[in-house]
Amino acid sequence: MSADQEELFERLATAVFELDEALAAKLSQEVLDRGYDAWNAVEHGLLAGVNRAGKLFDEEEYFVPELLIAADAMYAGLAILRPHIKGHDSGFNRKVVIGVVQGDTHDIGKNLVRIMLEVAGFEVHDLGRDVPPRKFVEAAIALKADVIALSTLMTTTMERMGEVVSILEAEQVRNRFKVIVGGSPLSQQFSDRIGADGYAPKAAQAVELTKRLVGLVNAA
Amino acid sequence: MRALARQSVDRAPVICTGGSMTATPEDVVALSGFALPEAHCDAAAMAGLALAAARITGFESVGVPLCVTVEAEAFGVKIDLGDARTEARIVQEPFASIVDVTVPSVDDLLRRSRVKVTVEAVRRLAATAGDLPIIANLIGPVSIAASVVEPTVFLRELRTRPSETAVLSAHVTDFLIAWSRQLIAAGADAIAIHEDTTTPALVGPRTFETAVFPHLQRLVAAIHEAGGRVLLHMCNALGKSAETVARLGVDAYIPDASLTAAELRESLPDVALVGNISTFLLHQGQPGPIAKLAARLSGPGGFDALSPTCGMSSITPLQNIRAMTGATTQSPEQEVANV
Repeated sequence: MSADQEELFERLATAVFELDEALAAKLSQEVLDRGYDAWNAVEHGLLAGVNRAGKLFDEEEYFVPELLIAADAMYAGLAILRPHIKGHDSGFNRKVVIGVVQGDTHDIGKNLVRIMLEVAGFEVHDLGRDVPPRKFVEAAIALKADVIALSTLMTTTMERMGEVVSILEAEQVRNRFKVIVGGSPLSQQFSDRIGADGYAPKAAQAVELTKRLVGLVNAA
Repeated sequence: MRALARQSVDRAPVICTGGSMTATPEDVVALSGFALPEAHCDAAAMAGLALAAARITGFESVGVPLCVTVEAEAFGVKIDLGDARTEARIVQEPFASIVDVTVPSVDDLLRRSRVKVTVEAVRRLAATAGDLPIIANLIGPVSIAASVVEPTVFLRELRTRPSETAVLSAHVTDFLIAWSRQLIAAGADAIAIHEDTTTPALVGPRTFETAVFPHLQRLVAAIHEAGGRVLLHMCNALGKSAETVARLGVDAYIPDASLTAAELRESLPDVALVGNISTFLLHQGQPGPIAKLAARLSGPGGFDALSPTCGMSSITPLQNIRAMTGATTQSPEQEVANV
């Protein structure tokens, strides 16, 4: 990679990290104008920038608004670069169905996990919020998903997560999907009790968990 | 009320504000003679259920409204009122971005949704609740703004469009002040503000200071001026915002279950602390350990008053709630005998 190219990717990463959506879009266009590789720009520019933002989020220097704006900047660049990415380069073809369970409409946490899974290269199908248990199962089967990710903020609706697992068992498709759960009232103990495959207390850890469950990294 | 004023009390009272601190699980509603969601919409039933909940559970406060959706509904948010098992909740925010927002006038807002029902419910409680303090529940102004605009978008716009979001938050605050005055005039002793979305942990200390604090501070001052006390609840840790929260001048703070009285006392020295019986333990635990926890939290160096936190699950067993409310009224010997 030439020094010019590296320098441009670094500026792209900085634009994302410094929450400058317009600059991220402008620099992404510059990548194409100069004929540089689009996937390299995504990886070393956009994703590097959003990962840096994510790191500051973990360190409690960035908070939810900053992370969302960094993601906007990343998506703005991605919209320009994506049509020029050669098929075999991007992602690894693993699918996640995600949503907030029925009875709950708090979706900020779910949106963060979606963004971070997308950054990590997963194809994420977002069913939104207030999603009935059966709909998760139907969508996962139809999309041939690898992972079903369930979120809730409310103690009242936690039990809906167990229903998703029960339906998967009743339909005899439980072993086709990994089920992960998250949300502030949850715990590993709860996850174990309802028979989920994993729990993550924070968005970044949800990505590590998902990667581990689909075999992208070795189990710890 | 003496506990909120940090005056000496013979024991820590156990309260439950209602609002986001649900006081009406399914078991309680079943014994009350009232029904949900009907009681969300009728002043007599709302007051009746709030009072019945206190009598059934032993909570030493009554609180209305019983849900967190009155304000949002006044601003045109689509609501599902749920039932005894499922809490009332937001179904759809009316605006996709702050730039699209148009809002009714304060006078109009006071006539919309169930605002009048809550004021009338307070009036009825003032006549029926005896010595029990009456707490009226409001959602924090910026959290309401975050349900008028799609919340994920709104959180971005707190940073990217600070002046527009501040205009909306200020208008919501004007409405909350007018409503609080009516609630206090009707007989509310205290207003509990539930800042449920735009907390320091979520928006960070800088955004909390610039975009949330000014509105909260104005609301707190207006409630004090109208003669009411102020309780504040936020989820998660205060972190670097502890000093900001201390400057709000609230009378009481209700933390979530992750914080201890000792650390809060350090950051909020002049504030009564109300907390913080885990709602998971209340839902899934046994009466013995719950009574033990309640006795410990209200012991020396502990909380000024006890409360479940954050919202009790609707399927919390009544015997567990009674174990909590009974714990501080017994002598230590009795507690040991019961555990």
